Amino acid sequence: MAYYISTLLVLFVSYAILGLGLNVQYGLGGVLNFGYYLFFAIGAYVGGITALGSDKGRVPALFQEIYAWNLPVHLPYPLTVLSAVVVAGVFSVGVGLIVLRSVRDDFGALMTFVVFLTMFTLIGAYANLFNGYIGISGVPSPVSNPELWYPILALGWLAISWLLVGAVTRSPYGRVLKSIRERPDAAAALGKNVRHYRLSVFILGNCMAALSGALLIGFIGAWSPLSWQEAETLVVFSIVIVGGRGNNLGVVLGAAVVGVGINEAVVFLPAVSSDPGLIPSVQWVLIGIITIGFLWVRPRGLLPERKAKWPWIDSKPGEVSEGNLLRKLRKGEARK
Amino acid sequence: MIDDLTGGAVGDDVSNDGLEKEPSLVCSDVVKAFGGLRAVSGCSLTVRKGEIVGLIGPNGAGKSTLVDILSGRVHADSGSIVFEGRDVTRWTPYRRAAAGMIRTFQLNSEFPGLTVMENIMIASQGHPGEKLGPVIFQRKKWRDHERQEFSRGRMLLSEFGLSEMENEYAGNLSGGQKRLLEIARSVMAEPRLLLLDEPTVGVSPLLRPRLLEHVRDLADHGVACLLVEHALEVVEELCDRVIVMAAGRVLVEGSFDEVIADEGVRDAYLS
Repeated sequence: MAYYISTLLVLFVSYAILGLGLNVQYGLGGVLNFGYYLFFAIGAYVGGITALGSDKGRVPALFQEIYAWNLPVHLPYPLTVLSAVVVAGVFSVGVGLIVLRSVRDDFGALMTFVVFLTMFTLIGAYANLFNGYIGISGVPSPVSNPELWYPILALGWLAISWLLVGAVTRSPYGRVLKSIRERPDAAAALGKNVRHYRLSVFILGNCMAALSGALLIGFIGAWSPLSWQEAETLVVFSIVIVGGRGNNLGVVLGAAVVGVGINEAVVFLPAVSSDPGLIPSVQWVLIGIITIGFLWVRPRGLLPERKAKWPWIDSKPGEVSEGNLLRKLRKGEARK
Repeated sequence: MIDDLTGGAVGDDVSNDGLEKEPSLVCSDVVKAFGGLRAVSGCSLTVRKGEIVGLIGPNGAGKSTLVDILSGRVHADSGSIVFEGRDVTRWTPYRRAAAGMIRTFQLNSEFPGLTVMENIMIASQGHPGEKLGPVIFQRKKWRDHERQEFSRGRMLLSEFGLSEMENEYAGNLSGGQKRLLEIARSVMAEPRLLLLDEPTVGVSPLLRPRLLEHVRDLADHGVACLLVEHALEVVEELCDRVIVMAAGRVLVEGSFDEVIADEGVRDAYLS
C-alpha cells in the first residue's frame, strides 16, 4: 500500500511538472508542440543512462564506447537530472530553429509531430543509441529508501518548478508571451521579437519535460519506446485544458484529475478476462471524452487564467494629475 | 526644452516651423505585387519630423499595403525605405518598432485576453523584465522599471479616458475604446514615427477630437505621423500635407485644398 501511494505521488509530480512546462509553452506562449513527449523521453533516457554508469550489461553500445574513453559519464544524483535538462535544452534549440521558422502556427505544430515520429522511429530502430525497442532498465534510485524518500525528493523538484513557472508567468516576460499568443503581428509591431520569444519558451517548456522524465525514471527504473508513444502528448494537453490554460494551480489540479485520477480510477474497474486490452482503452476513451467535454462546456478549464495584478505597486487607478501628455511622459517626471 | 519634454528622443530642429524640417521617413520607388496585382507600383514619399502627412485615395489604391511595407509586415519587391538616415528596407517588423517606427492596424489589434493595463504595458520598450535572465535573477531591477512604466501607463489611460477600464479585458472594450487603447499603446512605445491606419474608424464623435488632439500633440513634439484616413474632414483638420494615392502610386501631393481641387484626384475617386 505504501508503495502504491509513493507511486501515485511520483506519478502526480511527474505529470504536474510536465503540465507546468506545457502550460508555459502552450498556455502562455501559444506554441503548439505535439512532440512534447519526446523531450520527456529524452529526459528519461539521459537521466537513466547517466545514472547507470558503466554497467556493461545494460548501457547501450554507443555509450559503452564513450565509457571506454574514461570520460566521467556516470554522474552523481542531481547532475543526472541536470544533464537530462541540458541535453533536452540543446536538442530543443535545434528542433526549435527548424520548427519555429514557419510563420504559421499550424505548420509548426505539424512539424513538431513529424519530429516526434522521426525520433521515435530512429530511437526504436537504432539500438546502439538507447537499446532500441528493448530500452534501458535497472536504473538505480538515488535514495536508499525510495518508497519513503523519493516522493519527498520529487515534491522538492515540483516546488522548484512551481516557483520558476510562477515567476515567469507573473513577469513582463510572461506578459509578452501572452501578447504573442493573442496576436503575434501586433506584438511584433510593438517591438517584440516573436521568433526569439517562441524559441525561448519552447526550450524552457521542453527542459521542464526532461526534468519530469529524469525524475520518473529515477523511480520506475526502466524506459523504452513503449512508455512514450505519440498519444501520451495528448494526456499532457488534456491536463492543461482541463486544469485551465494559463493557470499554474489549475494545471497542477489537472495533473491530479487527469494524470493520476483517470489513470488510477480505471484500475478499479472489474477485469474482463476475454479482453485484457479493454481497460487501457477505456482509459483513453475517458481522457478523450473529458477533454472534448471541457473544450465544449468549459474551454477555460477548472481554474481559468487570472487577470494580471501588481500587488507590489501601491497606487489607485486615476491617481494622476492633469496637464500636457508629453510633459508627463517626460523622463524623470512621469517615471517617478 | 523640447528635448526635455520628449526625453531627447527627437532632433532639435523641429521647434521652428519656419525652417525646413529634417526627414524622418523617406521611401523611394517601392513596388509590391501580389501575383499579378501590383498593389504598390513605384511609390515615393517623405515624412518629416513633427509633420502629419495624410495618405488618402480610393479603395484599392495601395494605402494599407504601403503601411504594411513601411512597418515591415510585408516586404517590398523593390525600392528602399530609409528611417532617420538608416536603411531599414530589410529589417523585420519588431526591429523597426524597437527603433521607433510604431504602427496601428486597420482592424482592431488589442490583445483581447489581456487587461487594458497589460495592453499598455506591453508597449514599454527596453524593459529588463522582458528577458528571462533578469526575471529569475534580478527581480528588484525589473520591478523598479515596471513601477515606473506602470505609472506612465496610468497617466496614459487617464489621458485617453480609459482609467476605469484598467482591469477589464481589452476584448470587452467597445470598438471606439479599442482604437483609443491602440493609440495610447502607441504613445507608450515612445514613437519617433507613427503610422496610423484609419485611427478614427469606430470612434464616437465625442472621443474623436480627443484622439486627434493627441496625434497633434505628438507631432508638435517632433514625432512624424503618417495617417491613412478615409474621413476627409479629419485629414483637413489634422494634416499638414496630403498625399493622394491611386492605383499603387502617388498621384499628387500638397495642402488639403490643393489636392482636393485637383482634377486627377476627382477622377481617381470617381472612377
